[in-house]
Amino acid sequence: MAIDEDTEKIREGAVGITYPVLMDRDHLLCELYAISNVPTVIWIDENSRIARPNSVAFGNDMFVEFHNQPSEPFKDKIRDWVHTGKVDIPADQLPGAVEDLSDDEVDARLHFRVAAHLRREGSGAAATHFSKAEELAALDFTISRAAMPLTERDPFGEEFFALYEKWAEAGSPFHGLGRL
Amino acid sequence: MDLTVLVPGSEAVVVDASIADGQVLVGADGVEAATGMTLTREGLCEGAVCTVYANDGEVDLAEAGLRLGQRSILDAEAAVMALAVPQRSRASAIDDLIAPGFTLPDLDGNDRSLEEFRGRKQLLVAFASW
Repeated sequence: MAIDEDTEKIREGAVGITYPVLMDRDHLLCELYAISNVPTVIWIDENSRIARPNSVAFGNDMFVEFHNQPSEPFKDKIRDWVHTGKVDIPADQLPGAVEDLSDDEVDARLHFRVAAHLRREGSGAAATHFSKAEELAALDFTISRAAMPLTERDPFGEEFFALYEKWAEAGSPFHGLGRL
Repeated sequence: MDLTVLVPGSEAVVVDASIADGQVLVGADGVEAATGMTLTREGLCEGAVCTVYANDGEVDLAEAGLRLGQRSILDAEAAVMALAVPQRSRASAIDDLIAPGFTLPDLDGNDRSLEEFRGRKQLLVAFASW
């Protein structure tokens, strides 16, 4: 699920992928599942129950020197779940493990959605709503970092590293189980 | 005036609304298009379940949204309103661990639903180019 505006960019990165790649331009999943950063991985079982809620997990080790989280241990857990149905976290710890969005975080998502809509319409009013969204949820990457490419700013530049530092200083807030 | 309402998880709808003092007044058609709720004499109804709501044929969409657990924002100048995902949908994910369903387009624009994959284990991966 690409939390992204740019279908072409996602298509370039999805060459050879055989499973469905869906575009979530309005960040619906960031509201429905309280997703606040990427990558976020959710395990869903055969009966549409969440077997393991929001976690940070990487598909490969491309940026491992930056985030220090190798991909293999989590993939092993997935393999184990697929083969045996066993989840590495006790079932009684799962309900409520993801913190709900605050009103400000919901409103930030609404402003982001309005901004993205206005931007597609070519309206200058988009900028105000991107700013408002970032004010309301400054450390939410699906807001602050996702807004960068939509407002002519570099999501891999100085501004991102400054955001990352601020986020780390704040205790790396994340809606979910976080890292392994 | 024509108000574009951004509804979570589906196409935006355009409703006829009058905006004054922070209220977004819409008729029965508008409230149904934006929220899926029916406006009756009993109030706002989803099937047979109604929330009592005194009305004279018009409803403040922002207030109706709140009653349904949907926050909203309004840009009166741009004539755009956005309604949030109902809090209960997220609560079903967080507290009851029931995966909320959704439909999103694939890279070729074909709608795909989570429901299609029921009966198989699914890995939902949120990623991005940014």
